[in-house]
Amino acid sequence: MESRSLFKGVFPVLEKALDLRSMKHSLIVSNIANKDTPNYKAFDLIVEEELEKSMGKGDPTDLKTTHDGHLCGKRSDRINGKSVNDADQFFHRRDNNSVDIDKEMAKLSENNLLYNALAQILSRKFGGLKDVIKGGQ
Amino acid sequence: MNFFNAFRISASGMTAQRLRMNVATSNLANINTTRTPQGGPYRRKDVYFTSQPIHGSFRNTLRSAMARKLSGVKVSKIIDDPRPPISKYNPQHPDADKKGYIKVPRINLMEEMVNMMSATRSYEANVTAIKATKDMALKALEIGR
Repeated sequence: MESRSLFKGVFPVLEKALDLRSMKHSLIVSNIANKDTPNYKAFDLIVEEELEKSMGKGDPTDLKTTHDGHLCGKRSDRINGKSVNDADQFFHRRDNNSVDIDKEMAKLSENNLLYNALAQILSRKFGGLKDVIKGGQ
Repeated sequence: MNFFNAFRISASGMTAQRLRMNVATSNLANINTTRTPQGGPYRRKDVYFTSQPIHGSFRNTLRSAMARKLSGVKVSKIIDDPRPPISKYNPQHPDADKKGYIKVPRINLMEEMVNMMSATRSYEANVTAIKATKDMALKALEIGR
């Protein structure tokens, strides 16, 4: 196997996903810190969408469907609604702040879990490579 | 690095909320104060938050529009409540005017308590965010170990 292709495939996807997750984390933290700032508008980042944009089509990690009964593995199916700036939601506060703290905290822990999962997957990938290099000893 | 920005943002939020808490307790403590160094009764104070863009490294800011959306909090000013003080009839009081009325600050106990509770909760939310950031940063260090 060429050394060039050793880190191809799923590695770039994982790297990009980790990068985007940490960026999303910063945005969520910013929203939480500004929970009481008048006229502040909450921001969000849809990681799955960004990932698909940057990876393009024909990604090696997409599931192939060769039969009608197969589950569709396209990433876009996992996106639930697009909302980069949550301006469409109605304001229930007098100070025009659009941060929903419950939503933000939920997003924080979800994003945190997904980041940890990705880091673990990447770690296991490297562990697997290491095992192969050492010949399983 | 992304995570240090996140720490900085949460810290700014905690500082702002703590100042808000201080102001609320100062209002509570001075609920009956009729004399101040500036003259007149104590005026109720309120904090005014503004969001403040966090500038990471120049390269990061240039690279992504997302980095420009990150903002911490700053208390831009502490404002005096414009509501007039309450007049109370108390002729024995040394600060009473000719008709026997004193002026006490218009501070609503419930309002201050709600303010304090809100500040506490916001502070806790920021603490949770910092913990999450720390978890993630530590997890990233474990890659390849």
